[in-house]
Amino acid sequence: MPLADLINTFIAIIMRYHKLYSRWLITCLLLLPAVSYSDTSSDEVGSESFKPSFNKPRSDLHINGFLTVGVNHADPEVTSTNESYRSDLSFDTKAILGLQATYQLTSKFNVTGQIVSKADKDWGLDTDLDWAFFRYHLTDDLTFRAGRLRLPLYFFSESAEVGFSYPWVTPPSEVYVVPLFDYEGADFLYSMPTGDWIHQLQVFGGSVDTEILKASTTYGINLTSSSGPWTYRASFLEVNDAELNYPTFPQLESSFDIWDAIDYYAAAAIYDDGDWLLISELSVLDTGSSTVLFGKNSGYITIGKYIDHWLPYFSYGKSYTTNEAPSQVLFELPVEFPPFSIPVYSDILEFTTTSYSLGLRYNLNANTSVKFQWSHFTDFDGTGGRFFNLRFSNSTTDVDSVDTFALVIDMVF
Amino acid sequence: MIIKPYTHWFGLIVVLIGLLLPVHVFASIFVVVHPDRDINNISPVQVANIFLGKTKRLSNGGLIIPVDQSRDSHTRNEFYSKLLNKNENQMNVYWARQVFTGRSQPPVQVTNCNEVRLLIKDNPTFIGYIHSDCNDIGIKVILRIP
Repeated sequence: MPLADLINTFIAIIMRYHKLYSRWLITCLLLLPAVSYSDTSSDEVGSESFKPSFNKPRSDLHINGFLTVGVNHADPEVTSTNESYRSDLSFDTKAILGLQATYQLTSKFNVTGQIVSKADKDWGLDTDLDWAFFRYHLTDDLTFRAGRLRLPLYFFSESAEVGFSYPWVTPPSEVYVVPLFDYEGADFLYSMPTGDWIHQLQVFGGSVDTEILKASTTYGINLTSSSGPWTYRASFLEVNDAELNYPTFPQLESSFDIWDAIDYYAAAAIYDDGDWLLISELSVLDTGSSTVLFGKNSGYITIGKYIDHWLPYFSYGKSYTTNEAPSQVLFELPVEFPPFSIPVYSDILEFTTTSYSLGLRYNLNANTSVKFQWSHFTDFDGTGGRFFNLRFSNSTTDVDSVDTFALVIDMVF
Repeated sequence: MIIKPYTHWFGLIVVLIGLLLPVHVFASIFVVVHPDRDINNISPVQVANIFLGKTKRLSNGGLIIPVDQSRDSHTRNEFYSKLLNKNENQMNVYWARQVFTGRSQPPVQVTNCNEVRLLIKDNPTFIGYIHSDCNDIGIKVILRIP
């Protein structure tokens, strides 16, 4: 019987990820699907009477997608963790196509997969199965998901590739500079209403295994409370036993024990009454006693005004490194001719950046928006700001401002 | 019989004002449930929380499932415009984040207010909304959104 197999798989995965050895808990979990199965069958009998009145019969399969096509330009050319701007008008740095399928097996159980394709430099395609998980409603307020999920660090982290889901061309880079890490693991989502407020708690844990970062234990918790136009969110994330692989500097990987544990703390406040939009997020990265990886404070505030189909907005953002250790040699950079090596000091990891952005979102229709954004990054204090190519080059001190321009069309379907 | 000219004008102005007043000034949206539900009123914010998929519960703890109207329906646009001051694009911004982060799917849809009524009349777990012009026999209005 397929349902029994599903239940067995479900329990096997729970045991694998959560090491639930205690017998009573497993017994409870065994009973839950049995109870829910009887619920489902009675629901289905009841629904027969109204099914014909639906426009379309309730579908078990939801296929959705998102698409972003755009062009950007920067002066001077800059690269950072998630984005790159060239000095020519480039179309290949912004194109994203995502497709998602959700299949509802029972009223309590569904599976979801999402494929995201991004254009690499010169149109090489970078395709990932970013989400692949099953979801089980343990109760009406508590759901469990397991599989490949995205780390829910900041408010828009999980939907950072879905341009349509936020006002900007890209989420403010001060805070969203962290690479978008997927993890393999599980989360619990719990929803609790008190009066007009809804509190949503998410607890998650798993392991990250990407080219840049390998971390065997990553876990965190966040709480989102919302009522009417207000939404607040507080979030914590810890990355343990990590190995970092800086693609720019492979020497770093082997020469240092990068850290024991790094902690992220983040807070967000959003006000959206349909006329005015206010978004602010603050983030603190605590790298503990690491001498190589610096801590970082960052934050931004965005204010926008909905005028019919237009949304003009302004953003201010700031980010800077903290707990800067005394300067030390990270590694020797070899030079071929004449043969010698240049010592690279930990100073290159220090930075400070302030940014001002002006943007405009125009809604072409219910599913499509066009956005234009101009960002001015400045006050680098000779560090090259948060841009790798400026920080790791000799011209660092010469550049004290960068302007980026982007025009995109975002749609969902 | 002599009618004074100013009376003429007065009457005409009253009729003209009456014609200019659009009928829908008095229209509103009703939030409706099954008559047996042990709830007689609900706040607009709580209605919003249910239709945004943030909770599946009424304030008394009872389970509730929202029923939407189809995307091209005027009542639907009016409902979200009055409840949240949001147009279709703004609503889709919210749902894009919910759907593509695997949180939730938008509520099920029916085509018109009569289908909302037929569905709720037979099924106490649903909550819906209808235009005030619609037939509300067999269902209970728990909130009037003017």
